[in-house]
Amino acid sequence: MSSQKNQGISRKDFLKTAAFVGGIPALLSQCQRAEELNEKVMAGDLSGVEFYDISKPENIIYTTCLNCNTGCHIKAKISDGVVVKIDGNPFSPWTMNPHIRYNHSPANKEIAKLDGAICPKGQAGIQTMYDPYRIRTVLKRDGKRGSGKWKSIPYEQAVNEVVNGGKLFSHIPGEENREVEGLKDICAMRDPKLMKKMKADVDKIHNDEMTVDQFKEKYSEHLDKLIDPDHPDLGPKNNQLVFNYGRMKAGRSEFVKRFVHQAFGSVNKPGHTTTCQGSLYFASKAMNTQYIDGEWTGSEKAYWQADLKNAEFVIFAGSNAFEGGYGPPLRTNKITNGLTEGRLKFAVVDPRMSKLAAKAWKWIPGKPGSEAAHALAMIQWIIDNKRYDETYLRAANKAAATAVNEPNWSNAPWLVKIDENGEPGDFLRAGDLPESIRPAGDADRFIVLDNGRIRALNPNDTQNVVTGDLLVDTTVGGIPVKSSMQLLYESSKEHTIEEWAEICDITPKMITEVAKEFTAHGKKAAADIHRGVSQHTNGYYNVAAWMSLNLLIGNFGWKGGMSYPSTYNVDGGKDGQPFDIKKMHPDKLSPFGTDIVRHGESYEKHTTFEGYPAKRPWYPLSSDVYQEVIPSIGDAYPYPVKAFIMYMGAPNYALPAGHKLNEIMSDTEKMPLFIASDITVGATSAFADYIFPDGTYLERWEFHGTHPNCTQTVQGVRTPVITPLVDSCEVYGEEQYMSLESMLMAFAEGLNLSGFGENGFGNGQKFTHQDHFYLKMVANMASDGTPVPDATDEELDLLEKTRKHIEPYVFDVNRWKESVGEELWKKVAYVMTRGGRFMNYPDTYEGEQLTNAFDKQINMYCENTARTINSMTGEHFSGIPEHNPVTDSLGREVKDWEEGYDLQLSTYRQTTQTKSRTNVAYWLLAISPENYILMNSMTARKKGLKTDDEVVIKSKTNPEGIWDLGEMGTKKVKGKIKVVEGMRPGTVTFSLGFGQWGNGARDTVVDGDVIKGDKRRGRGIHANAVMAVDPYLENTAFSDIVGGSAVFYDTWVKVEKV
Amino acid sequence: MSTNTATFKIDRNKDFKISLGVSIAALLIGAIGIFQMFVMHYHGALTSYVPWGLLVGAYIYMIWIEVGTILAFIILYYGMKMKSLEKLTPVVLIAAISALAAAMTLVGTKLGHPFRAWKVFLEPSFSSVMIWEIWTHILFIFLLLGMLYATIKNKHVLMKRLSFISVPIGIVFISLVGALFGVVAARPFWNVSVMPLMFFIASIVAGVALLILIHLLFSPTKGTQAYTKTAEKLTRTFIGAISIGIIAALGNAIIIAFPNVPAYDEALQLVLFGPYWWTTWIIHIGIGIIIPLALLFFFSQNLKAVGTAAVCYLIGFSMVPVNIIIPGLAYPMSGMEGIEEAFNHAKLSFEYTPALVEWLVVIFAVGLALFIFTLGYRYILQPYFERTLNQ
Amino acid sequence: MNEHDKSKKAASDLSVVAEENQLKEIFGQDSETSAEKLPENNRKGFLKKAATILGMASMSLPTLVKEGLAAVTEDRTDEYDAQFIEDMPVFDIDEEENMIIRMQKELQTAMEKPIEERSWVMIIDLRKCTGCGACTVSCVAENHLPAGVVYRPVIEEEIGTYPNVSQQSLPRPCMQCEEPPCVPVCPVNATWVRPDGIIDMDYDQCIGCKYCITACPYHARTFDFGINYTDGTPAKQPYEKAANYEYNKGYTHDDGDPVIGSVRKCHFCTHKLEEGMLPSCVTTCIGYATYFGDANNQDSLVSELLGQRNQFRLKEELGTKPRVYYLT
Ligand SMILES: Nc1nc2c(c(=O)[nH]1)N[C@H]1C(S)=C(S)[C@@H](COP(=O)(O)OP(=O)(O)OC[C@H]3O[C@@H](n4cnc5c(=O)[nH]c(N)nc54)[C@H](O)[C@@H]3O)O[C@H]1N2
Ligand SMILES: Nc1nc2c(c(=O)[nH]1)N[C@H]1C(S)=C(S)[C@@H](COP(=O)(O)OP(=O)(O)OC[C@H]3O[C@@H](n4cnc5c(=O)[nH]c(N)nc54)[C@H](O)[C@@H]3O)O[C@H]1N2
Ligand code: SF4
Ligand code: SF4
Ligand code: SF4
Ligand code: SF4
Ligand code: SF4
Ligand SMILES: [Mo]
Repeated sequence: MSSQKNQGISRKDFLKTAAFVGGIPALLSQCQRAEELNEKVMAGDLSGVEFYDISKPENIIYTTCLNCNTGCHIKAKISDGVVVKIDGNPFSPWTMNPHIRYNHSPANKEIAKLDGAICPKGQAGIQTMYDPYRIRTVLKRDGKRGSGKWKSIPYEQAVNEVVNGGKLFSHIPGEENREVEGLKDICAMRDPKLMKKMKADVDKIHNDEMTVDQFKEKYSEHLDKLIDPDHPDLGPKNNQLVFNYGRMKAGRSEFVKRFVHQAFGSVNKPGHTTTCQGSLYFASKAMNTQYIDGEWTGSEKAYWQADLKNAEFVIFAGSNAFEGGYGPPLRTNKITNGLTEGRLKFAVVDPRMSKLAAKAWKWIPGKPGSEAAHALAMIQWIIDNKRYDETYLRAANKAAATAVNEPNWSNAPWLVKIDENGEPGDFLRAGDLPESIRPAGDADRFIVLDNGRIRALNPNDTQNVVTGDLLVDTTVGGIPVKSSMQLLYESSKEHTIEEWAEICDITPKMITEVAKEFTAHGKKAAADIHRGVSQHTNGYYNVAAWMSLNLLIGNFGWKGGMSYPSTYNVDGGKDGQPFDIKKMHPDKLSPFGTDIVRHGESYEKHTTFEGYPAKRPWYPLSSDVYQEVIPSIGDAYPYPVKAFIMYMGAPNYALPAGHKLNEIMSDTEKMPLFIASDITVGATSAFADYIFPDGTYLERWEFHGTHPNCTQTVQGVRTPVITPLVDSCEVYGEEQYMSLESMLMAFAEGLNLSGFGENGFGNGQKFTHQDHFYLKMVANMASDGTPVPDATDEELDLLEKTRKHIEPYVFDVNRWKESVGEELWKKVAYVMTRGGRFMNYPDTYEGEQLTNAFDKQINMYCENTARTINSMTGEHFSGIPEHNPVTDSLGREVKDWEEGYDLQLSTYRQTTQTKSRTNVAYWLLAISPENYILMNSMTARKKGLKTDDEVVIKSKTNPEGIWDLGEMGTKKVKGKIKVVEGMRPGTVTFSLGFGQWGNGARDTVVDGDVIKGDKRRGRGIHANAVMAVDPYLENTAFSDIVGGSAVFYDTWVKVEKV
Repeated sequence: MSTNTATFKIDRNKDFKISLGVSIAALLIGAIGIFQMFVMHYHGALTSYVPWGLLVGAYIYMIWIEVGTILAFIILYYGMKMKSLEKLTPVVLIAAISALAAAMTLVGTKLGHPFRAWKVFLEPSFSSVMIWEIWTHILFIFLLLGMLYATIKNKHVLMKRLSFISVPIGIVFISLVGALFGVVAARPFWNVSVMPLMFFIASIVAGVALLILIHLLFSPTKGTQAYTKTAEKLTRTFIGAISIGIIAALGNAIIIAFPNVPAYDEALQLVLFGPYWWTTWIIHIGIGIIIPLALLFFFSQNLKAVGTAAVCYLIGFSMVPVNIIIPGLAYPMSGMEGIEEAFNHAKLSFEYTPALVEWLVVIFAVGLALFIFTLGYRYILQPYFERTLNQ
Repeated sequence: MNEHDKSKKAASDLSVVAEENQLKEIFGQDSETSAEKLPENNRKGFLKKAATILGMASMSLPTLVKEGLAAVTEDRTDEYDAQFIEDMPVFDIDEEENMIIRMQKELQTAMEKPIEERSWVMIIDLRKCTGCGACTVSCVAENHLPAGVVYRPVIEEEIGTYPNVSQQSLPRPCMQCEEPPCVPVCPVNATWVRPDGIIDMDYDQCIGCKYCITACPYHARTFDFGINYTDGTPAKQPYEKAANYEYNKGYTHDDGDPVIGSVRKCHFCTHKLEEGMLPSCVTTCIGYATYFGDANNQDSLVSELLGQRNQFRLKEELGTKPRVYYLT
């Protein structure tokens, strides 16, 4: 087990900080180098131009930022092996507008001097990496969970303990006899064939083609491998390993899938989407679901955003484009250029006057939770005033869209059957019609009325143009029907504009004026929405309502309208790509069973069905329901979990009511083994049994995909720019740096899992180093569509020169080459030397449309949603956007204001912080060392509060206003008031990123030495602990049961001066 | 006469020990501050936005005393022909030199690079008032030393000539110290044209006050009628000087307040009602003006009262330079409001309360002054007095 | 009486004006005083004169101040040789609309001229600045600024009352004043005006008297107290130890290094200009709100922008003539 060299540091210092990056001695030499340099310059031995080394191609590595989830493409400027400056990558449309052509050479000295624009967090990435509180070796708990006591242990020991289990914590009082089950016991089912067969039979049980008893009989020999033989649909014991992650992007995602699903055989790899903008994803996913071969399928977890470079009018609703969102560098200058060019005008719907709102034509401080009402009011006005794009909306299938030069079409004219209660159900299909009027052909086709004539259509038909009437309310062949658009219209007519305005607490004029402007720019207008719209209990329908506004003007895929993400594929699943990574896995397992958050499955079909409400909600329409993971483990529903791995997430900090997780994580019965991968002792990893160190984003591999607002196809590569500051270890006989990958590979080695090791990719194709994996992915992206050119000799040379400071166990050109083969190597190098692959700017548009226009159907009425049953109430969801009040999981309206909680609590991002992790960046803390509770002056006057007054925030479910941090004690949800004008009266808000207890904010004890915490890292307030706890679930915040969102904006609170 | 001298010597011997003890104690305590500053790199409470504070204030005060005592003495002795002051000449000079030593210590500690101080002599920039100020100060120091030499060696003509030169030099010097602040257009509170005049007056008044003290404590004529008479004369001068000082201060305040520029207002607000209002109201106005005035008004015949008034004045005015410097700095300049929140650091703040280390350094400087005065008195003046009085 | 009349009346009083000029010479103040300030200055003029006469400083100062000023603007041309610059690659037409590339090219053209023919200006479009702070941090990183030192803070202000509220962000680099009050006050020539208008600092010369800090009307100078961001944490980090690029001198920030105890300020990234690169705050500005270039080039982007009406400079009334302009 080799590790970083230790010379040049006193033994005492070394001991004190051995587990922390702070103590890395190799860095001392840097200081000497700097002095030498200084002497040289002073003596005139080195000219300025030689001295300014970071403008030279050989000192720049192009990579991808992750100091927030935007993932901008960056260049790390390296001087003497130290990253001293980070700037934007000019090859990328994210950081340079417009960006330079992909075929320019990074070896060109002048190209190397071009810097793109990145945000302050990106600049401060240096401090994420060079953080004295980073861990560099495995830490094992040396006291109760969350006690802050650790000891550093050798890597093999850690791996051995996790794999084999045993009395791992016998040194801790109370746990002397606790036997921990190792991964080897959890990974019970190892036979891929058996698993496949069982999986198919479980499907049969759900489709009533097999009974549980028949199943048990068939697999009587293997029942011990199941979690519960009486409920085979819970799956094998393997599912009792849950790998939960916060921020994970392409590449690592495939790596983890390979380990968890394909090698370990667990279904459980839940992510954090629902804490982000879950309902935005899942409402959009419902809207982009396609009807193929009689089935709603082919949906993508993706949404649309405005093309800000060309838009003339944009409504930003709950979208924080300047301070948060995806992301400041991508969007800011497109907006500001638009302002000074006189091209762009915009309105902002936000209870807080964001920096964006400060420059808006209109700031509309609507009432939180009323977002659908607002959109529906505009929809009503637009339909009443016939200001929608009739031509677009009438197109009912692909052929019709093509005929009118539209890239996509909607189901606005399709007819929906109305039941006896007047409720819409399924679409009317040809087969439903009496023979007399049934159009000839397929019974499965949908029906429209075209100027009153019945016409059947196949949505993807490219030959037969079918258009339909938009507002239809009639009976066809005796069946009451309404068109999708009629349903939308009726939903918008639920109230008058005045009534809607009252619900939103805005003026009717604000609604109509903005609606008028929105429909005055043709397709160059857009409604761009984000968390403020989606993270409500009614989030799904808020999103659907706003997206429907876009549908009304048919702006999807048009310049200045709505743009859809497009990226170069890395997993190799496309034709023409060299490495189909998923398939290059001999003996891979196909896991089955219900996952821990019960997503994508219907409760009714499950063998655990017990009537309504379910014990916890099921999420058939959404996935990665972050707020469900740990509470479900706590409730052992639908089954108990034995080992929990947390990667790059801090759910107890990030989630609303996250404090409820601490209790569960502290409980060794509910969560017997807790492993974390982290770069510091983080907010959540503080509760782990083992923390495995990881490389920061500047020291490791990943890809980053793209965001909807980016109109070009892009894929960024994240790659180590220095030798990671963590220790190295040996896995599969090779030296590796400690990282998520080496951890999983070490587990795989210990468990002897498939898909890794000497023949990991198939016979003779080894997977003994993570490079073998990631380089193949680079080759894949290089080969997506038209392959990239070959790197020139100069560029090949550059690739090595730029990495001369990196140790061979991290960068070894031969290993890289080997991973992809000589033939692809030059293409890989082409991508690597440019930090990714980027579509050329001139290729962005085709006439007035976006080259990457969304070119499929967009559902105004979502039949699939309408067919789905709410596991808590037993009722069907609505297929059309509607306004709902704020409710708990059982659908009961929340009225906490009646009990003296008179303020609505909201939250937002500020440019300088990213969640639980940028509190380590002192440069950012200098700009804003703490956050405040923003309160309008009128509210403050009423409450007798002034700026800098300290208050505690309290809510009905946290009446004391306390953060319970388990062994770390408690702290008040206390912060300072800032009285402002730019805040909706009656609503208070706070920014994300402060009030922390992780990442060095508190003292820790490692190997008996106290590592003093840094107070600067813990200032300000984090009020997630007062966000409402669902009264039925009791350990989870409010959720949007349809779209899955964790709810951040629907809590009523009071503030009390301390 | 001779008995007088004898008592004089014995008394002073006792006082000498006390004085030496006090000064050494101050030096030792103050040395902690010097150590902290130079070895441990304590920066005190100064920030980039309030870059000057207590130390610069104390420096100015020491200069006021240094120059004021000399000027007052020369004007009274040569100008107003108060011959009875003659015997005080060496005491005055030693006192001024002591103040000078304190001033130099203080100016040294306020530099970021004290060891580059030589640059002001070898690489000066004559566009800087500071250079003129420093150079005239040096000139003034030479004059002081010259005068001391002349006095001790009884070279009256030389003494007279040097005195005559030191008046304009002293005035220029003290005005330049005022101009140091007065020329800073960026700081409305300082950027008043009367700043040099104010400094001159302040310095003279302080000089007269110290002169009274010196006379009361050290005059060899103690107990004689001449002694009392001189004291009375000095008292009248003191009253006059203090009155001019007050009128000038009021005038200045009006000038500052009148233009109604927000920045002046803020500074004035700070002086009068800010967190250190008491330095203005209690120390400056209370101890420095009202008490001395009352004492002088009601008990002008009582020498103890007069002495107390002088001490009060000197104490009261010790805060004046600081009260000029800090308000000029302690708030963002117009148009720059909010700058301290744009980038946060303890050293980017407008809040300044002198830190312990700064007080320690001041104690060191004062201790040094006392130490030099005590030794100077003992080893230069006493032999000299003995010599001259016995003649 | 309106402003115009006021100033006319003041101007007609010849003696006062004459006195004004004389005093301005003495105190190194500029004669460009805005109309509304005149009456007040006149009133003070008398007192100024009295004070000066009393101080007797007036005798020799004016000429000496002039000489002094000449000394500080002395020609140090050969210290600022343009570094060799390779040819910029040819970009496609559509990339020409990229203002960063355009400005960098114009900068390189300017660097080919003798230094005294370059006239750098920075323009900040406040309509485009979102107050993100990227420029602030980029500058800190580029120049290895230690804790407590900042060259380009962004001042934020909320304007108006609910619901008619707005916000203004004002980035504040050094104005590189044409008449810099910070320069003449320096007793040892540690700071001076370069022929291209940039105000340089010499950390080996500065005695740390901080006089210049008090003289700058924009708070653009900060003092290096020798504090590191990681003081009090387990260890000082490599980025804090790396050699500093400022003025291409390679200073480090360890105890006793010349930068510590010196005054620091924005220098328009002179070390990058010499490389043919734009200042860091310009390239990283995500709002594309910051422009930089040579005002002596009629065709440059900055010249184009300065031709517009909507510009102003900070505290114009002080006569410091900043090289940083703002657009509204
Ligand atoms: N600086 C920074 N940028 C980031 C990140 C970060 O952590 N820091 N994280 C990235 C990630 S993961 C995400 S998901 C995105 C999120 O990006 P956004 O969703 O754009 O950002 P937020 O600031 O969370 O919320 C959006 C806005 O909604 C407003 N809002 C709050 N409540 C309501 C409401 O009830 N109604 C309406 N209409 N508006 C409301 C807030 O004031 C805020 O301005 O940002 C990404 N970019
Ligand atoms: N009040 C409030 N709360 C919010 C939001 C809000 O707007 N307001 N927004 C929500 C949103 S949109 C999101 S996306 C969530 C995010 O919530 P999460 O995804 O849970 O959180 P992060 O804070 O990104 O998680 C960071 C953790 O990963 C560790 N880490 C950092 N870098 C690495 C790495 O390279 N490798 C490994 N292994 N670990 C690393 C850090 O030390 C830290 O412990 O927060 C949510 N929480
Ligand atoms: S927005 Fe900033 S922090 Fe986020 S990825 Fe881009 S540069 Fe990095
Ligand atoms: S802004 Fe200040 S530091 Fe910069 S040149 Fe002007 S006066 Fe000097
Ligand atoms: S601090 Fe340095 S640069 Fe400023 S005036 Fe003093 S010596 Fe000159
Ligand atoms: S020009 Fe350079 S030194 Fe000046 S503020 Fe910008 S980045 Fe900083
Ligand atoms: S980087 Fe640009 S937009 Fe951001 S604060 Fe600086 S000037 Fe403003
Ligand atoms: Mo997120």
